[in-house]
Amino acid sequence: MPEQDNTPQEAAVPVPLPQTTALVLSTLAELHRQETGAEEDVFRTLPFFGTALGLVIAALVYAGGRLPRLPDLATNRAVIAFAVASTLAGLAAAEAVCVILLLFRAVTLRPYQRLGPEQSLRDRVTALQAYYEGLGTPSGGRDNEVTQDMQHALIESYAKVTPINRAFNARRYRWRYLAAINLLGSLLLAVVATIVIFGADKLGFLPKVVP
Amino acid sequence: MNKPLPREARTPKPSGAITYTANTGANVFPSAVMSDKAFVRVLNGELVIFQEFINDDKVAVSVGGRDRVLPRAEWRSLPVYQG
Repeated sequence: MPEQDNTPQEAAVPVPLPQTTALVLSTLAELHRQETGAEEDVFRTLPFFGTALGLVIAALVYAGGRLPRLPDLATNRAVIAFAVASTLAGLAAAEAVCVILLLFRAVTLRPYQRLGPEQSLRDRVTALQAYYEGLGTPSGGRDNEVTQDMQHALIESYAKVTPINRAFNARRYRWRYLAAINLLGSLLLAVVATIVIFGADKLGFLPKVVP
Repeated sequence: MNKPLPREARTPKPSGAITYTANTGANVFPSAVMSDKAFVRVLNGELVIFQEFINDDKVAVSVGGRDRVLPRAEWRSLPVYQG
């Protein structure tokens, strides 16, 4: 459960520590890359959901084909078997629809944050060069200053965008988790419905279906 | 070595994050029902992302990437993100 955030929001201005800065920058870049890759995770799992839904549909088609018509149910056992099997199949179909709706939620458009665009990064370099030129910094030392400033700008950018992207990914994962739960439920119900129909059919509870 | 500009002639040192918003995902159903828009709002220029309802009074959100707890009334009063 998230706690109330009372910590100061602004970090102190980093002092120039080249090795530490490089370490932090590479770590944040990797974390950002992970979150960017995670945005596509839900899309990568769509074929799995599609395959599993195909199994559910196949089971439901089997169940629908084996169930007799209502007027053909002559015994109480037949009525009970029909009621149980059709209820299970109906629930499986409803859960399958839920899976699709939840997946729509998972892949929906979200305002992910990015570094850049590239022109803005380039403009910042130009602006920093002009700034240090204005300060009278020798051209030899200017490159070092601009490099450090750009490193800090990138660190600040990564620190700003990555947590936001992570929060969006958490929502994506949440919807996908719910879709997966419903998918398993749908699969289970479809399998049980198939078993009930198969068993009732073999025990002679259900009348033969006339094509 | 270049001669420094007088202080009043210098532009402020450029600083801050360099970012932009990239709306990514599938806009299959742009209606309020299937859109996630209602779950993304704005507070003082920062994105507020809904996480979960804690109870009748509080909502867990992510504000600019930081976990926060907001009163439900405040959450409802925030403008929906228009990306």
